[in-house]
Amino acid sequence: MSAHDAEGPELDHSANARSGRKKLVVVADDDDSMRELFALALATEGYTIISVSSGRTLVDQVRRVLADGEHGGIVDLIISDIHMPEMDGMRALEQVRALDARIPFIFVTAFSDPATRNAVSAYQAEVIDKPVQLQQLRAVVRTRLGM
Amino acid sequence: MFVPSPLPRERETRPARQARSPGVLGERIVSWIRRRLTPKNVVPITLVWTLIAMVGDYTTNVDVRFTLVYFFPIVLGAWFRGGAWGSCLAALATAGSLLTDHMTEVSLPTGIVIWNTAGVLAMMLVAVWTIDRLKRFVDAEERERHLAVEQLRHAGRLTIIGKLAAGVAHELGTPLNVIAGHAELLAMTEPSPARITGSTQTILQQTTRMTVIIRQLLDFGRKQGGERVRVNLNTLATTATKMLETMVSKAECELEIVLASSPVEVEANAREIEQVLTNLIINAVQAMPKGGKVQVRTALEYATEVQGRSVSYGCLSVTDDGVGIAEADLARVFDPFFTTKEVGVGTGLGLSVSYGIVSDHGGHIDVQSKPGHGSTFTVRLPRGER
Repeated sequence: MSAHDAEGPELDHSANARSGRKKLVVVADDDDSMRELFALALATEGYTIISVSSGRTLVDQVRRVLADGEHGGIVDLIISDIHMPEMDGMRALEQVRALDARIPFIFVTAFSDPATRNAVSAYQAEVIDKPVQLQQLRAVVRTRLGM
Repeated sequence: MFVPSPLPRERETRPARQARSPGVLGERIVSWIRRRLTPKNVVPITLVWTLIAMVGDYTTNVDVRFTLVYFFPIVLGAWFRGGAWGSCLAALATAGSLLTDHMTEVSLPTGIVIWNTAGVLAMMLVAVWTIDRLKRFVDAEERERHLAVEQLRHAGRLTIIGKLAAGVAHELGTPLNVIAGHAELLAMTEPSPARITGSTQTILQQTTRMTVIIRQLLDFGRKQGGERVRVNLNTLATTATKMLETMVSKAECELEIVLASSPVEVEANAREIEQVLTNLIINAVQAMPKGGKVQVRTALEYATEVQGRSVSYGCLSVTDDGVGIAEADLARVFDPFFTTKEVGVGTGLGLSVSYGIVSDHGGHIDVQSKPGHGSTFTVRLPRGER
């Protein structure tokens, strides 16, 4: 499992130069091909992307950034799957909210029932249904990052 | 005849119907009777009613045969064959009664004869009408109960379909998203040759993944069938495990087979039961990422009472000393698409398919597990009497 962790490309683009710091997007999905797709889709946008493969590693990653000041000590956006081994997305959201109440959090999931949507919105997060178009994903990410 | 007092509750709940219905009294009587009569007590009550009428006849010196010969058959006729039948019997009985009177030369004034005949006929017709309404009520209740049971079954099926749909959406949604995303990548930018190769390869991989899921779904929903023959589970376990030896040893696991001393024969489709055993062994191996021992055991189990009949089973169990199953997950392990394995390792259909196969055979599959200590899956197949 740890082989997948933080294996996503930390893409070095010259965008975001205005703010002096590249926006940090953390992607959590247990599916290798989905993580790769997110990284490819957002590659041209010039964000720093960290990919993790479970809810637990997502929480660990967020904690490291916030506590140790990696990447400027700020997580700008989290994109996560709901169904993941070890710790699912909902539990990860709870724990992330305990660390920081304001990080924009987007779930990309293939199956969300109304109960899940309610629970998600109670934590100020949102749900996008799979399949998601890359253009749509990029637009949502840009909006959430205030760009 | 007993006339019940008005029923305020009934009036409150159905005022419109009460007001419009011409037979308000009749309605009230029927609804009063309805609430007191059940399919169980209606026949004894009819019999007691007849008995009381007979005693009444006897004590008042009236001909007991009337009740016994006419009234009782008419009531039974109305119950079992319907109102029309009962009414015909009543008419015949009245005619019979008149004829008997005539033949025995009972000389009564004509007015009394007419009065008696009309009274007897009216009494019998009222009895027929009451019994007929009761019978219809009982039948309607029975139909409603059947309907309710059918609806429950339907709801159960819908739950399974709902679960399946959620599973299908989840399992197919991800590869579909990956395929669509890579197609978009290829279409939008001017892709490099490396990107083209990478994306097309990913698309192909994902379509293969979807094909596997669909094939397993078809397996899961397959119709019951296939030839069932006498199968010795000892032989089946030996051959099935032989095929898996390489896989098991590659995963640094050990396979132990403990066979019952006598043949464990069941009526089964050998290929399907082999599939079940293979599934269970693969699961056991996957539950032991650090290696361990898989034990396959066959046994005979006697005398389990099923509906008063003793049934014996051929048992096949697979035990591992792996990670075990969390108590919260135990109830869901046989649900379609339930899996705790990583993506690509399990689709969550193996145990559902196994459950379906074992159920088709009239058997059970159950699981005992202790997190951190391992799990045992036991398949019980009825041995049949032939």
